Amino acid sequence: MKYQNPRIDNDINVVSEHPLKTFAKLLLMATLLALAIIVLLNFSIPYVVKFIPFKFEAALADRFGMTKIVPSKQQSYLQDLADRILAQTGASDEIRIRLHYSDQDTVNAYATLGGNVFFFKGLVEKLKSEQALAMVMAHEIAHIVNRDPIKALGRGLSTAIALSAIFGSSDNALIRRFVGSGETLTTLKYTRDHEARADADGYDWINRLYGHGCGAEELFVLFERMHSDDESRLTQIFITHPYASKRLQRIRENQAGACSDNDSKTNANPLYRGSDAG
Amino acid sequence: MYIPYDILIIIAFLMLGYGFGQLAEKKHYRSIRQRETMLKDILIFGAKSPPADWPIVTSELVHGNVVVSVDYFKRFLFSLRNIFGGRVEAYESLIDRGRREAVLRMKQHALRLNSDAIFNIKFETSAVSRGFSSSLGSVEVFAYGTAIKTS
Repeated sequence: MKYQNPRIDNDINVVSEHPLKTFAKLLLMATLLALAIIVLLNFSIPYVVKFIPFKFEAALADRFGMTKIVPSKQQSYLQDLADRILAQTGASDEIRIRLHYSDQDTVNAYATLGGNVFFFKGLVEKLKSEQALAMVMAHEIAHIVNRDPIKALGRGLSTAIALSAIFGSSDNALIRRFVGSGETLTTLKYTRDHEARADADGYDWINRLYGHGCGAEELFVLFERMHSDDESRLTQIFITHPYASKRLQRIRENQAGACSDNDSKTNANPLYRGSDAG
Repeated sequence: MYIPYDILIIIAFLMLGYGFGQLAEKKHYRSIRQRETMLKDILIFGAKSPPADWPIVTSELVHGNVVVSVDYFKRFLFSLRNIFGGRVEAYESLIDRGRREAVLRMKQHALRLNSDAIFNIKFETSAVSRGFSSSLGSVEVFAYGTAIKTS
């Protein structure tokens, strides 16, 4: 008896479909699935956030390594201002503002998880009136009271979860991009809607605190000037904010010409060092 | 302007993985087919022992071992396939190459011993390394059997 092994045909175990075609098909399906999950999660965030206690948010901030408050003259002045504004908001007692003052020249202030608000020397020393400073403060406090930080984190996380569920095993870079590490807290991105609402709420509270909204516009005059001055000096936060000129316009409309004699209505910012300070 | 470097790196890896992976696979298949023709006279059998009427001069253990790596593109394709299920075409060709290469190396071993046929062929496979997040890094295929000389 004669034996022989047959020649193995190449296409028995190997599929003839072009790998790129398979790739395109699968990628499209996965992308659609990811989008569906992200949209669903994002829509549910505002409803879910109501059930997350502020205490939990504060604990989360601590776990992310939120720095301790360093006491200083500036810090106590700003903390006092924050507390006075918070009293106007009618927010629940649970919510506390933890004010941090940073000795950096960055023209910035931001609010993040757990009621932590950061003010930078660069901004604080450029504002002439307390009211302008209060406007920044009220804006940041509005973010806290409206629970914007946890919403923003939720958005980032839901995107990350959807992406890691789908592209999971192979693409850590994608996940890192949305979850971030220690940077997460400073890079929380609020939506335009959140920003606009923070402006409106903040202005309301300033009105309640001082009985008028005069002086608030100084902040946006400064932003507008910086904008035309040098675009590259703008920090990320100003870019995501609504345009300074639009915000200025809105404030002027609200003031309705009642602030022509500003100096008599505003108090001096004790930390002011000139609009070109820093 | 904001440039998403991490995404660009992934795309670059995918393109490199695809380019080199396809090139390597084509080249490997060419070589596999060529050697399969060359070594076709060494017969392989799954049966445990040769027919009783074969005059056996010597019998010896022969083996062939190969480790093939998955390229980035295939791994990506695999992770996508994992969601929806179905044939993992990308890995099928990989395992196919591994099996055939292992058999070829085993035959090469038999050729060195001047054997005519190999009986009782067995395969072993294992995932040699697991890449990050325990995705498959490379696969080992080991083939072994009893080579016999009949004249």
